[in-house]
Amino acid sequence: MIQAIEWGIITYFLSLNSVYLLLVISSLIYIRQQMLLSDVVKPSSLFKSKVYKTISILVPAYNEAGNIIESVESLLRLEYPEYEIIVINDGSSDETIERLKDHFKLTKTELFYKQSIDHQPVRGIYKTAEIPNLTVIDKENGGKSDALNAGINVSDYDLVCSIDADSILEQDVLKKLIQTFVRHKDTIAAGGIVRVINGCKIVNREIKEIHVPDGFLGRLQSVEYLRAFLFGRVGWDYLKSLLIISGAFGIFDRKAILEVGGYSVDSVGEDIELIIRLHSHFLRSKKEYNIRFLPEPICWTEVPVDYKSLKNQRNRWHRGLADSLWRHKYMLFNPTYGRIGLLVMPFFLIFELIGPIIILLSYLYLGVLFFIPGYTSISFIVLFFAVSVIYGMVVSLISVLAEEIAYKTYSSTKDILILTAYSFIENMGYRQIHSFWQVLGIIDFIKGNKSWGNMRREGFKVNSTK
Amino acid sequence: MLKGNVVVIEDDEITGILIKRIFEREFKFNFVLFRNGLEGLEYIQNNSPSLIILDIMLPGKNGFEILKELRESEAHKNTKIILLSAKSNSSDIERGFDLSADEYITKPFQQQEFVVRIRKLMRAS
Amino acid sequence: MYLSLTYQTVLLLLMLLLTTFLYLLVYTFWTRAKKKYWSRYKVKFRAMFMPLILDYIETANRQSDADDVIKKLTRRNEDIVLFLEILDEITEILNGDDRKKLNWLIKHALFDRFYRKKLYSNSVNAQLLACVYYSKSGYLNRKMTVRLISLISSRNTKVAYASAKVLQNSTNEYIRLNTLKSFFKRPDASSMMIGELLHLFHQNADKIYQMSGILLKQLLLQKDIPKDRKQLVIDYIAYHNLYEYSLFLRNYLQTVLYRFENKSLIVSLINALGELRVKEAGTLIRSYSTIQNAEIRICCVEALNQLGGSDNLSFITGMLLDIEFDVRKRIIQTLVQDPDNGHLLLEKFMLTYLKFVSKVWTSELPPNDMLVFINKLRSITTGIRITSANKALHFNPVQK
Repeated sequence: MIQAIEWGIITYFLSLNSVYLLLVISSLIYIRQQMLLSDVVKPSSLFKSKVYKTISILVPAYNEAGNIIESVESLLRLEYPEYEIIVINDGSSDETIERLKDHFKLTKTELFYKQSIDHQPVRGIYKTAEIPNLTVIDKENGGKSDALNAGINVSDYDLVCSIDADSILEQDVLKKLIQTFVRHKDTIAAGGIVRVINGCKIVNREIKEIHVPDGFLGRLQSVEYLRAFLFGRVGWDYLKSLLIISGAFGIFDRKAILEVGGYSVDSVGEDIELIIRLHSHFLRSKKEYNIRFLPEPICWTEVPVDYKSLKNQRNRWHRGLADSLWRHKYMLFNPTYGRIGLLVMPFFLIFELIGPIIILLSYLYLGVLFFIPGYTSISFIVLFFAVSVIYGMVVSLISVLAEEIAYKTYSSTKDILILTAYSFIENMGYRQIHSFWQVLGIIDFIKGNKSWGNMRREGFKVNSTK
Repeated sequence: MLKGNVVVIEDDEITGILIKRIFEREFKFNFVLFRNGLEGLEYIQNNSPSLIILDIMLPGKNGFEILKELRESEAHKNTKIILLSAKSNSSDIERGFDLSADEYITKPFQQQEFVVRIRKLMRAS
Repeated sequence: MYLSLTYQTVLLLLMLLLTTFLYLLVYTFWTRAKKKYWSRYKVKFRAMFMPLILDYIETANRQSDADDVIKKLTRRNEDIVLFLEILDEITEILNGDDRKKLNWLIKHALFDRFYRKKLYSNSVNAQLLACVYYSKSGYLNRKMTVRLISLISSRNTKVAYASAKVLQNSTNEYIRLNTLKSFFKRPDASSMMIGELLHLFHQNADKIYQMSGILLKQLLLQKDIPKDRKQLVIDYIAYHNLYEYSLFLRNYLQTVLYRFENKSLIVSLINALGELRVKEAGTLIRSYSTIQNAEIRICCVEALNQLGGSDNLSFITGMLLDIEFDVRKRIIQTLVQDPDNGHLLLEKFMLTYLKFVSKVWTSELPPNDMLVFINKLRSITTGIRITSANKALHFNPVQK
């Protein structure tokens, strides 16, 4: 019996880390393939026409008075032939809407559109003749999904793009993302690499240098982002099994979203839930579709640097995952849903969702062992340590190596050395505590907790004068 | 030989060098080059150049925004401003002239033509 | 001593950790040092050659003047690449006479020899670099043509694409066309590539070479070219206003049956006929106005609007009671934007139906249908009001 448990634990960790290793290595191969003389296919400025689809950028804003103007101004500077920005003020209690009206000199107007998805009532729509591609919707509070749904209704363009108000986008991000839609027919959703902006040096609105954050938690998250959110996702994309697109930046075919009924308002992880629902709908109706990940950096976001915010964020993410998988549990092991139902979702269920429980129990088991008199199975303890911690370090290190090989984003060698050191540190405590937070997330989910919590933001303006 | 101060805001290395050579060869202008829109704009606001050559795709602040701000200010309402850009579609050119640029030169261009246009523009003041 | 499986695994993982760690350190330091070295080299190289090249452009008179500059260049791989990079950047900035002199440099025998070897090599990378060079230099002889045609069937998409690009420099228009035919059949050809090739095909025909007739039609008639490629050809024709294809496109549309897989093709064709203002296609387009697919109906509205004329506009107004919101919205936008009589037609429409509504109690429609109908009218009148108001205030979004 003890043997069975022990072998079970070892197998679990071995397979978990092996899958991650596989994902990282296959992403690296895939990225290298793409990068070899990628500028052979330069999109000539001469042939524009219908290759470019029109894009609506939706910016849901709740109490963002502090940086909403800066965000919108930077969005207005994006390089793309035809796009619009729709800011949705989700019943903010601060002066978000007043600042917008003031700064852009907006006037109240009406637009003719169909209320395809239901949402909280709209109080007013504002535009200005000077900036024809900016629209501001003022509505009653309903949450991020609700705000996005309002934006989707008003949009009249081919694609909609949902971003967080504090994401910073590269100027050519839309041009880059459209390549995914052009290269793969029937693409209905796409995401890209989200990078950590804490620690970068911004001068005159240009990102001059890219460095790892200064703080302990920031650095840990940098390694984590490389492992899980960069190469993890590219790997899944390579296997045509992408299940998650970051909420910080995602782009969707508008008609496809309307077909599935928009974002779900009562879900905590609305971004994951939407993707799964898209998979579900299109697989069921047997229509050709593609959900892809662009292996290029497109968006910068601020990561939480204090313990409480980070804990809440991870708790929320895990609740979101639990909620999304639970809603679509009919897809699990169901051949109608192909690879997604038979492989990907079960993987996420066992390794991502329930995984933390197993991890935590394993450590508890280990702890208990020390109190059993006469227990001499050193081999188990050593093996356990090897497959969980050592193997984990290998995967983290390979992610850092892959980042160096594929992108060389970081400006100095010192950054890589720091990341290397943190690859070790990450596995000696952080991932374990992270699992603990995730278990709390599951408990909260079962209890029915739906809140978002607050993240204390430093604001990226703080970094810009360094 | 025409005299004066020219400020060029252009982030492409070779274009910058090329324009510098042209000015050294053909005109006796004081030449200042900036590669970031915000820096260039700040300099212009603290000095009074006789001619400004602006690229459009710039880091910091793009050419159209700079042009708009300059034209809205008293000091530079009438300064000679030339837009120089690889963006050559008619809507961009239209926008440039709508914002009251004095000239819009698209890349690629001919050096001789460039010189002739500048001469014509400076003589008109 | 016999080591159990456990310890073997542990040892393996530890070895893996150590090797990864060391490799990471070595790789990072080595590549970054290399990178620093090469960027310093590049800066020095450019500092030396840029003035030389720019001087050359100012002072050169004959093709042989290029030799003086080339003499200073070593035959090293890296130097050749850096030099051509500079030339590449300058071609983006200068044209005309300056460009001609630049071409003397680009076409110099030194580079030709260097890349000719690569063209015939078996390495995909070398082939690719050679093709990229020859697209720019424009030099093409018979032997090279044969080699390039064989490269179109290469397993690597980029090589095939790059050689198709070079072949667009051929003086023989049939070679250029057949290149397109072969390349367009490939399943991995992306729309960017196809667009670029079409453009080169046509651009070169325009500039120097004679083009007999409307050759692109052969691409549309070719059976084994996938429909989405044909769509791109049609879009290209429309975007670049190739009026000579007008009647051909109309006849072509008549041969396309309405089936789900032909939908996008039909949409492209109708759009093209609109862009090209093919008045003779009016009747044909109108026949599509009752088709089930909303997207097709919308592009009918667009196209008829572009064809213009009071008959077409009245016809569009007649479509206003369409079942789909998006179609109605497009019609309203079109009529409101119309500079002439669009608004009059809308007024007439509203008057007609207001009269109808006022006679509602004598109508024979069952109440449910009536409700649907009234709601549709409400939506239409709201739309007309809002769209007209926004037009007056210049709030209209950029038209697609």
